[in-house]
Order: sequence, then structure tokens, then C-alpha cells
Amino acid sequence: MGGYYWIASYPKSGNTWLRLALWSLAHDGAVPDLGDDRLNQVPICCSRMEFDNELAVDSSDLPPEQIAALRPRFYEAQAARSSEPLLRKVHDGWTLTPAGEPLFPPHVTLGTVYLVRDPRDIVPSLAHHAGITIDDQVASMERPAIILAGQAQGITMQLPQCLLNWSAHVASWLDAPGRPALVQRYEDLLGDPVAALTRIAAYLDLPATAALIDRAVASTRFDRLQAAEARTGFFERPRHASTFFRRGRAGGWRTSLTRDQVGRIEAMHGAMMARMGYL
Amino acid sequence: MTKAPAITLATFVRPNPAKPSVEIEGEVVLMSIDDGLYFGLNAVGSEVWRRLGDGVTVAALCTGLAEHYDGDPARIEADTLALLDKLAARALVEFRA
Amino acid sequence: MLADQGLCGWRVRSEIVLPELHPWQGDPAAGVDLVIRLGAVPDRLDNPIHVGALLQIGEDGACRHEIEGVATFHLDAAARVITVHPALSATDPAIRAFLFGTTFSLLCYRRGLLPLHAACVRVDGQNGPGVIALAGPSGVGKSTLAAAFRRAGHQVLGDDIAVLRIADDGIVTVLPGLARIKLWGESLHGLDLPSDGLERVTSKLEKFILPLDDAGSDAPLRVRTVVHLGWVNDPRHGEWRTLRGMEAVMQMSGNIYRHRYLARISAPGDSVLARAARAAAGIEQHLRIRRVQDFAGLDDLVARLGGLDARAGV
Repeated sequence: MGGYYWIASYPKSGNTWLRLALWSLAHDGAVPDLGDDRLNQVPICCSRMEFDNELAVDSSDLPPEQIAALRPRFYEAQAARSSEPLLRKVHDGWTLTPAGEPLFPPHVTLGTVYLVRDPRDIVPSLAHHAGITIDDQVASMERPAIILAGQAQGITMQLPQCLLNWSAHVASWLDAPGRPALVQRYEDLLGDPVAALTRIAAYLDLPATAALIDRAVASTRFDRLQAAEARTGFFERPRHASTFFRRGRAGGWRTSLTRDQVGRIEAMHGAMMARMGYL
Repeated sequence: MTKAPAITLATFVRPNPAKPSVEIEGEVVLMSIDDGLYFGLNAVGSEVWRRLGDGVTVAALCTGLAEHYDGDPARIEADTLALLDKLAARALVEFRA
Repeated sequence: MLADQGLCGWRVRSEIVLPELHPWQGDPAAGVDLVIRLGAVPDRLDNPIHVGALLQIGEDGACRHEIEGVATFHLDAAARVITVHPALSATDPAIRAFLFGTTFSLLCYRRGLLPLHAACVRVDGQNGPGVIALAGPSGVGKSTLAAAFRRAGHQVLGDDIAVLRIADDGIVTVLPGLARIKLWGESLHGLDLPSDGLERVTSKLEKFILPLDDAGSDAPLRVRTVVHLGWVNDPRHGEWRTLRGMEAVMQMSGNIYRHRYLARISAPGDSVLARAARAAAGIEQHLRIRRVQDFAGLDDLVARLGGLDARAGV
């Protein structure tokens, strides 16, 4: 029986970069083709098609709370059929289902890589990604939780996901039971990607020599991804965002947020920002 | 008919009747039902497959292909033998020496 | 007792009201092919070969499918009787939604047919009437595209599962299915269709049942084209191309509804794989279309597909 490594993060916190780097690691350091959707070393944990196929049910006819209640069954069934560790991207918080059990069952969890980023930098990045104003994004991050891919009026290829607010999201994964998550700060990942990828590969038990790590990092340098996106487009770019790979740097909030916006974020998330070393 | 260890020009080859095949838009797909696998042939492989008919000697098969493609007979012979080897490994064809 | 109804050419006798079926119009003396009854369903099948969270499959081919809070369904070993044990009022539309999902697909497969995850629309080309099957996973836009065909004046033959019959001569037809399209509020809005008066799939979802008055009662029609739908975010990644050989067969088998479970109930020598390949070979045209999912492009897509003569190509 296999199990899962969850690659968990709040959106716009380096998850995509890490998934591309892991793809490159598994492909001898090759440069990923951003126009190819088969390039998915780490698929999302909540694919509607995989859920439906695994459990023999049309999730599109189920209310969201029933889908959430069935997600542990989905993970158990998929893990039972698999002999290899499964890597999955996660944006959900580590939460309990309506039935009171962990959404991500500890007994099929091999580990978690948790990527965290300064929320003051997430705000402008996510506002651009979602096509909303910065003030609306700040407000959205003050709510206890928002639903991604919700099915209020229609469905997407993903199941609904519960994104806790930034502080609660970080806390939920850091305090989850089982093997402690490997916490990787986005800022450190930018500063020394080789060290970060080496640590992550070791945690995931992936065979990776220093030379291979160097190649994977070189193949997924931010300017390269940006140029590749300009050339071919990126399959995961949301329709209303002009680009996916936008700035890829830390501390941009100092010029892109107003003092009031910074104050609101720090007032809401100060405690967790301090715990993560951002204040 | 039995599997032959080495295929020569004199070998008589035919599709394994237990392995169904279909053709879609000029390309042949062979099925190995027991293994739950499909084997797809490209345009050239599909042409080879069609020419197997109910059975043919490898020599006649290669002569026909060389005429059809107007290509180098030695090269076509080598490619054909390589393809037949692959098909034989999956029991998709049968042989008689 | 309710009047008998027709489904896939079978005479159906149901204790549940099934508005998506038409009255039986076949031979009045014909025997009943399928009974849908209300009753108790065992918790565990005897000698199960599969016990999943929702689905159990017995060694004898019987199946049990449970949707908590909606109903439990049981298909007997002979594939002639479906027993429904409702957890809701027996008239709740959610029961029908799930009845005509997994249980229905297993029934069709057991009867030698092939359930394709597809909506079907009728297009009359130079070669006579034919059907385009719009196949793909949930969420890709099959029903919405089918509704756009309907708005353009085409007959829609079903919106979710296309029951294919492969004749001995290889010809593939779609059997008359359910006379409805299930559409989300977003799709109704995008297509300028009112939701007033439409029944919901379940009271908990903004998903509605659009009845089709003109579907379901016709004779089987030949499937000339299958479109394997996919989506992209960036129009540069869009695709429109003909599939050949292996690619056509792989797409077909991937879009067989519940293929993983059908494989578990296959007889030796008659696998899902083999049926999917034979069905693919019996359909003249295989297209892969991947597009940005927007309502604005639907009419163009309908016009382009509707104008296709099966052999004229693209």
C-alpha cells in the first residue's frame, strides 16, 4: 500500500515552482514545457475525475459537505491501489470533515512539505492571480475561510476546497498529527533554491545527487520560467491573469501595498507572521 | 504453428487469431485482452499488418513493402524483421519455419 | 401500478416515477426487460469481489451502490431487477440522478452494451442522420454544449451516459436514453435559459433538470463522430484534431463511464478494452477538441460541429 506526500501551501507561496522542480528532478534535470498539461509530477489532491473514478460516484450530484465527508475514503482507496508514494498538491487547510475525521487521513500520510510565504507578499500576487483589487484580497484573507472551486452555480474539474485564512492555514498544517511537516519558507527557497530542494528531496526520500539538484534548479530559474511562459503560455495560468510567473521575489509588498493595507494584514496575522519570522 | 526463436525470410508469419485488432483512420491497434493492453502501430506498421493478411512469408512481405514504399530493400527487411520480433514477443503474430 | 416505460429499447416496469423515460411504445405484448422496485437491500453482498466505500460487486455480478442520505441501489445477478432502498422520499430527483449513474452503467455493461461518458446530439449530414457523441469527464462541459446544440435546433439524445451498441457488423448505434439535460445555474444563465419551473437535481444544489420532449423515443441512431472534449486556460493550448489508431482507442477507453469497475465485471475475452476498441473502430470520426470553457464560443463550436459531414473531415 502506498501513501501520500502532501505538498501543501496557501496559494502563491511557491507550490508551483516546487512542483516544476520536482518534475525536473524526476526527468534528469530537464527544462519543463509549460505548455504541456501532462507535465504534472504533483497533481492536485482534489481532482474531480480521480475522485469519481475511484469511488464510482458523480461528485457533481453531491452537495459539498458530502464530497468532503467522502474525501478520506477517496484517499484510502487510491493509496490502497498504489504501490508507490503519491505526491499531491494541496491548498485545503488541514481540517476535519463534517463527520469529524481528518480530511487527509494520517494513516495514509507519509509526510507533508509545507510552503509558507510572507502574507504581505501573497496579497498582491494573489490579487493579480485572481483578478481582484488588493483591498478585496486583504479582506478575503481576513475571513475565517473561503471555498476554492466552490460549486455554488457550476462545477470545475476540481472538487471544492476549504482554504482557511492565512494564519489558520499555516497553523492547521504545522499542528497536524503525525510526522511533522517540513516547513519551507518561500523567501529561503528564493535565496538558496539548491539548499531548499536538497532538503525537500531528502524529506520526500527522492534519490537526487547534488549535480541533479543543480540541474533541476537551473532548469526552473524564475527568469527562465517567465521567458518560457511568454513563449508558450503556462497551462495553469488562470484565464483572467495576464501571466502566472509575475515577479518571483520577496519584499515587493514594501512598494505595492499602502501603509493601511500592511497594517490590516499585520493586525490580522501578526502572531503567525512572528512565529514564521516575518515580523 | 509455434513461435520460432529466430525469424528469417523463409518464415511464414500470420496474425495471432486470438488477438483482435481494429483499424481507425489508417492506424492499427492490436489488443492483448489477457494482459489488458493495447499495442498501437504507426502508419508503416499498420501497412505491414494489413499485408500479413491470413499469412505470408517474410520474404514476400518484404518484397511487397519494398515495392509499395519504393525503398531500400535491405533497410525495409531489417525494419520489418525488427517489427515482427516485437510483435512476436507479445504473441501478436504466429510463425511457421 | 405505473404504466410501463421504455429505456434503451427495453420495457421498464418501475415502482418509482421516472419522468426522464417515455411511455412504452413497443410491442404491447412484449415481456418486461427491467424491473425497478422499492425494497430492502442487503448490507453486504455474498462473495464480494470488490467492497469499496460506496460500491460492492458480487462474484455473481450483483452490485450494491450506496449514496448516504439518498438511497441504496441493488442490481441482481441476472441484471434484470434494480431494487431501490430510498433514504429520502421515493420521488426525490436525487434518487434518479444516482440510479441513472453507476447502477445504470453497470446494468448496460452487463447487457453487452458500452456506457460512454458522453452527451449525444443529432446532426443530419449528407450521409443521413447521425449522432455526435460529446465525451469527456464531469465538468468539461458536455451538458452545456449539448444544450447549446439544442438551442441551435438540434435534437439532444441524452446528456451524460451514451449507451452504445456495437452490432456484429461493427456499426455503433446509441440507444434511446434519458430525456433530460442536467444543467447548473451558471450554464442556464450563460445560455439565456430560464430556470423558473425547472426541477432541481437535489434541493441542495443549483443544478436543474431540463426535460427533453423530443428525445428518447426514437430508434437507435448511428454514431458517426465522437468528440473527446478537454479544456485549456490559454487559447494557445487549444486543440482540434483527428485522432487515429491508438490515440482514438485510448481516448475512447478513458471516457467509458466507470471503466475501472466495468473491468471488474468483465467476462474473459470480453473486456472493457476490447469493447472500447471495437466501438472506436465502428465510429467514423474521432476528434480531440480542447478549448477555453466560455459561453461566447459555444455557438461557433456548434456551427462547426453541426456543419460537419462525417466524412468531409475538418
